[in-house]
Amino acid sequence: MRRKETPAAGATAADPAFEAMMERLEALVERLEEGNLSLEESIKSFEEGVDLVRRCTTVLGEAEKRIQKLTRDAEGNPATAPLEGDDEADEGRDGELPF
Amino acid sequence: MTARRATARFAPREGEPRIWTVTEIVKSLKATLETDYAQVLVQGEITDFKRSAGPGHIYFTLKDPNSQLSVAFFAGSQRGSTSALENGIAVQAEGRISVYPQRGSMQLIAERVTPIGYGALQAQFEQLKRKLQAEGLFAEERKRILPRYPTRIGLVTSESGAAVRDMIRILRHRAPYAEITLAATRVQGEGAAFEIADAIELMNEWGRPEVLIVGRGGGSLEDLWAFNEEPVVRAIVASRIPVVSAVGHEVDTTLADLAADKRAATPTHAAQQVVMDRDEIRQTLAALSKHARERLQRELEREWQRLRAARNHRALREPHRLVEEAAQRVDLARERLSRALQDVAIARSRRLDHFSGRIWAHTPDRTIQRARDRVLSFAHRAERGAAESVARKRTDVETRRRLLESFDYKGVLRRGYALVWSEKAETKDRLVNRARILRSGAAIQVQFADGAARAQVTGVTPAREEETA
Repeated sequence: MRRKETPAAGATAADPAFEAMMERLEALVERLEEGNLSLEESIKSFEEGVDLVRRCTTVLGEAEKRIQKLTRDAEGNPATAPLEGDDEADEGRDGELPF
Repeated sequence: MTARRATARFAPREGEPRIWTVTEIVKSLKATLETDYAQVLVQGEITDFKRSAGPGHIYFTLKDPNSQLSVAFFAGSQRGSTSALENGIAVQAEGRISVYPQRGSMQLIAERVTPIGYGALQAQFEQLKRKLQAEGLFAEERKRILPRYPTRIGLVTSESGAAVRDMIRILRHRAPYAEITLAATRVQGEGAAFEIADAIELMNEWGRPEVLIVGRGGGSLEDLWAFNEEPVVRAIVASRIPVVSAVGHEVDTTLADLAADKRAATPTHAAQQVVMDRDEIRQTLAALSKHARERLQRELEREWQRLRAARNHRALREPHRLVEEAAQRVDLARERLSRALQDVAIARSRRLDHFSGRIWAHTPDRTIQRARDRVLSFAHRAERGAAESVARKRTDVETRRRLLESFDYKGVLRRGYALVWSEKAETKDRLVNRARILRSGAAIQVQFADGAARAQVTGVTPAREEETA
């Protein structure tokens, strides 16, 4: 009954990578801490940092993602489908996952 | 020969028991046993295991709940590895029963000793472990670093069972924003190892997860066995995506654990280790922005010091330009800060729950406002300070300039007039506008439109009263 096909690469606002943003942010702060920057560069780094903090915070606040199952299709290629019985995301129920 | 003679000598008389020498009876027993038990297969548990240092003969005792039997397993009979043999291992020993005459003790001379049951698995495990170790598959330097903030997590485990439920529950709780993908596989029984390996490969083909958790809940050694099999180990090693092993058992280490980039004791632990709790990340973010802000404030402070220093020195020479430069820089800083402040405001308005509030609570408005005020105030102070010093310096020049301007002196000079300046030390550069103030011999400078001439007064002739009036 469920949609059997979802795009292999699901769309998430977390892309390109939350990891990369966090790393960039840490690097920026480190540069600021080193204190070799001109005022110009400092302010630039700060602005970029504020922007990254905002974007990371947005990712953290994203709603629960559906859980998907990865299988091989008829040709043996990876294909994803929602996990059967994963109703939590839809109904927001707190019950057991019935699989 | 000897035995027969002895027998003859002590041949029993009628009605008396036969008397054996020890050698005779041991020898007789040895012959009987070696004939009747020339080929036996005995099963029991190894105890009292010893390996002779030199040639590598192995001696142990086989026991079952009621009895014991000594076993000698000579180096010459040992084929293949014997490293799996140790106390507590169940084995089948094949060989012949014999008697060791010097002690008169019975023993099994083994030709082959094969671990069975747990022991067999253990032997297999040890053998595979050594092989894979020799290939360097468990080497520390092979281990990949796990991402610290993954948003896409792959699970390779059974679709049924508590393990997958536990992992999903924890992942969702700690990182609801994370995308969880399950590649379902059997985790025990014939062929499970191949399925697990294939699921790991499938994840890699797909390529989306940033980290994989491969495992199952607890079980008996046999249940967990798939995680000791070669295909699983090789798939983990080959995985481009870092792998956390999560086989539910605390005591034993599976080969999958050794090959994985990180080992977790249970699926629950794995889920906890893979993602940082959302609140922790938020705290990290808050700490980072706090650092950044403090650093920037120090930066502004330093800049202010620099401006103040400039005002005291270079400003004296080129006050206008410097003040303008400073003001411009300060304006820029102010503008950027207020833009950053706006960003903060936007972030605030986008906040989804009270946790973000904590991040920004310590923050900004007041601190940034203070920084702004300080920037503004140092701008004003710098301008005012510089202006004052300029004014002071200018006072001297001012009189002269105003005088010259009022005469439109250049035009006047071009018309043939000349200005006379005093050259005397105490009145130097003073305009000589009356003959009366000059004395004979005074040094003067006469300024024309196209240059000046130094001269000496040779005489002073005051004009009549009406002419000077």
